[in-house]
Amino acid sequence: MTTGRRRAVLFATCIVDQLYPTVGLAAAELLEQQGVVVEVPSDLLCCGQMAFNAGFRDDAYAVAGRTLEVLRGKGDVVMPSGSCAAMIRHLYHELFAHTPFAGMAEDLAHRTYELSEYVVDVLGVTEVGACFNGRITYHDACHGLRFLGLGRQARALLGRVQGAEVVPLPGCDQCCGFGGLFAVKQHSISAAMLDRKIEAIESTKADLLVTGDVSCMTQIAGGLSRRNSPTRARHLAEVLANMVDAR
Amino acid sequence: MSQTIAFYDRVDHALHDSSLQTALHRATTRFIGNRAGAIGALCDADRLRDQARAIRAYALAHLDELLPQLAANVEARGGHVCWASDGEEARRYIIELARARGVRSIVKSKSMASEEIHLNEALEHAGFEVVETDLGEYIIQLAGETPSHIIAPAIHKTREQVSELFQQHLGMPPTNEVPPMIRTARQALRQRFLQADMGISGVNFGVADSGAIVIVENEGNARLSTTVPRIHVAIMGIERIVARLADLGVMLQVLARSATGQKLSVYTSLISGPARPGEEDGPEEFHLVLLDNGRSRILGGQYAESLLCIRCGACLNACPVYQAIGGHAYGGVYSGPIGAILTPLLQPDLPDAYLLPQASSLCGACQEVCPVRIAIPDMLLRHRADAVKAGKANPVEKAAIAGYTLTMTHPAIYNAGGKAGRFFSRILARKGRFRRLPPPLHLWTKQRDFPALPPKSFRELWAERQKQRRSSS
Amino acid sequence: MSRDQILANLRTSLNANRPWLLGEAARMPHEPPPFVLPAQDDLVGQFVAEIAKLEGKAYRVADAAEALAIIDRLIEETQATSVIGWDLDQIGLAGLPELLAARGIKPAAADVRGEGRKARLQELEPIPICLSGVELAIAESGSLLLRHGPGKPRLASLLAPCHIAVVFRRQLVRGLGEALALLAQRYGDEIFGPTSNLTFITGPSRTADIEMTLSLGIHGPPQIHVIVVEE
Ligand code: SF4
Repeated sequence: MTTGRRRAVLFATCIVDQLYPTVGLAAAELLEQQGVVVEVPSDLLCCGQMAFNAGFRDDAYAVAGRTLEVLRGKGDVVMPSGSCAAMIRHLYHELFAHTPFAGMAEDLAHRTYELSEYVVDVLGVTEVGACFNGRITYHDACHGLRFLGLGRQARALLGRVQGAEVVPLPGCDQCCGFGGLFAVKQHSISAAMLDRKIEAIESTKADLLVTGDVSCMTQIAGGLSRRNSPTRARHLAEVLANMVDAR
Repeated sequence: MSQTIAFYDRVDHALHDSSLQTALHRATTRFIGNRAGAIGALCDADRLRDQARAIRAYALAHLDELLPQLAANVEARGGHVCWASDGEEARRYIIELARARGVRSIVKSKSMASEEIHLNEALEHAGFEVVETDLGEYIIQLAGETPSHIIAPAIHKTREQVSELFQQHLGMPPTNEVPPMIRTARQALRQRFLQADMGISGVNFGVADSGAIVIVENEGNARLSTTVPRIHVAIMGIERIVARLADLGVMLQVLARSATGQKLSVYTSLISGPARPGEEDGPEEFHLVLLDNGRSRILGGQYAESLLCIRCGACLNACPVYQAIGGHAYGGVYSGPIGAILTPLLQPDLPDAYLLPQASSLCGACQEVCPVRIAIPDMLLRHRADAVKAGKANPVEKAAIAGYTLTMTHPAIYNAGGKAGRFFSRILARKGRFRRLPPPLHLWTKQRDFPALPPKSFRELWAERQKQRRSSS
Repeated sequence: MSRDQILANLRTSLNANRPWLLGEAARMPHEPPPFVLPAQDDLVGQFVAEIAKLEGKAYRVADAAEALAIIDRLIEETQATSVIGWDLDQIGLAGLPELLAARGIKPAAADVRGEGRKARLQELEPIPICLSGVELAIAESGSLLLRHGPGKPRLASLLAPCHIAVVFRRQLVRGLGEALALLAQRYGDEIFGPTSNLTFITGPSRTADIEMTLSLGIHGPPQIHVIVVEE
């Protein structure tokens, strides 16, 4: 790179953009602290996962195809969502197979990273100067865990958070029951899965439930909130960027 | 028949059946722990699983040669082979055989292929007495039900329910202790074996180069079924083949460990044809039914990978949806993640088969434990795409996706939509959350809250921040 | 004919997917590992420990005399007057015929074939002991491999509630891969020549079908006694 500084596109995803702007800001902050020049394209919207997962491949093709265009030639892409990163890395291949976009999809897959992966594996950083006084437990979001092999990175980062006591979450790799439209279409199964997750979280008596995926966070936070639980759900980036207020 | 009840009703029923919930929890936790221990103890589990996958893939790639080889070897050993295109042909062959040989009573050891073709009903209808001899299968046969798990068919039954069945059908004195129930079943079934004219078994693997079939079990009922009666009929899905005897050195290792966490199952029988001259025991006749039933076509399509399956059941146990609803809710012969793939393919006439692939959060736990690493979530997604293509999507969802696509391909609409959402959120949300949302999102807020939308989107905040930075620098 | 139809379908299907399948097949060599668990020094010790874990009984004995003593005790305990067994020479334990003769036990032939099959089975049913040797035994899983055939009936490890198996040290291998390789080496294409049935037995018959409660002996022998002769 001519400037000598790393550049990366922060693809904040539609859910972060609309529901959790602080997660986007935290991710940007985190990257900038490490000297990365962050770019947020104003017309970058969604990876297309919702349509793809529901089986609407033409719709997914339209949404994701547009995203491919926006990200063409942009260098590294960092996403604060394992699920959306997995969509690009793992599923674009099938979505764009035998189409004019196949090459572009392949190229994008190779330069797309989930946030914790980018920080730890690419930037080589685990100490980011975060503090949190309280007890933290970590939920492995499924797609990041199983399709990107994540988990180690977030734990390394959390392990360096000053003042935090990180306790293991029983069944941390069990699905929270979100699953996109599944949460609505199969709401009763989803709720049964959520119940188990909430019970596990409550057993840890943690102040914060941390995860790397805002979709799981929405599900889990929704469950915690409905039960008026004292535990709050936060995205990893928020903790690392010191954007979680003590209570 | 459970098939006439809609999928969602079955799910609801399962979720509210507390004894089922207890049983499922007990069984799946135990299986998961056993499997993890057994796989974890291996020197190189990853390699062994990769080998298992490679061996199965090789077998499928050469199915057109290996099946004739298997058949020829079986025949060379004096066995008979029936090539059955579908369930009807398989049933007819077995019924005609039984009639021709004057068979009256039949013992069966567990076979998912025979469940698939509803063999029991057909045999009973034809006037034969058929007894399932695997304890779990026997229990559900007495109860008039179907298996709820590939390897533990009766996990949904409590000991009290089993006791009642045995009291009613076998005259067992009242008890809730397991050992007397075991003794009762042993005695009752032993006589059935000794009096049976025909034994019907499934097949875990066909071994092409040896003309042998492999049957894996823990109870000994398959050994009895294939040793004691004078005729042995084995039913094998055509995909369940390996090329060489040596392949078992990999396949049996991963099968037992993935299924139950055992190093090897208690009994692994390799059977090649009928008893030889000079042997004191064993069946006089051996018949191998090679069942296609759609498999030869599946092999050519986008679900071919599902034919690698060795029916270990690990994906069922690992699946959080299966853990929540059990096997019956799926409505097909095969349940759990692999069932959600196979049922729409093998039983396309089930009206709500297309819903099964929707009943997954796509968490990937199935693929993680699968000994042959089948990419189950990818295939679930393909089924969903097929259902949409076939016009089976529900209208609300269709409209929602159309709206989504319009929004996500037009930044102006996206931004306007976001603004509108935030406006309503400001008015309607309380204390930073929604307790209730209008349909169809009420299904979300039925069980959980939804966060209030923030005053500004990330990109708005980002734009402001960049502007500030520029002006301050 | 269905055979031709099925094969034709398979060929059409493989035209589409064979390359992919061959690619998957080529990712890893297929040769099974000789064994799959970390090697232990004491093979007999490992074997005996595995059987104990399975709730079988295993005995390490120095010679035939010690083995006979155990068999004698088991006959005593079960009050057997007959056993369903292999031909005694096929078991190969010196002194066994004399022991049984002294006890007044005539091994019952499991000759159920031909006319009177069911009646003969009923006669065998009450016999309390099965007595067999093995072809091979596998240390890391505690398994016995029985290659049946003339003089080596299947019922001799199946029908009675107590199965006694005699294993010699030289018959013990470490793993399943090794066992299969040895079998192929010994018999080549004739593994299934004299018999149609090979069985691996790993512990007593078991089920967990009622509430996942482990119970022994639902169909096969609830008791298995494996005597390992180290001579
Ligand atoms: S799909 Fe895999 S895990 Fe599931 S039953 Fe088949 S082999 Fe086992």
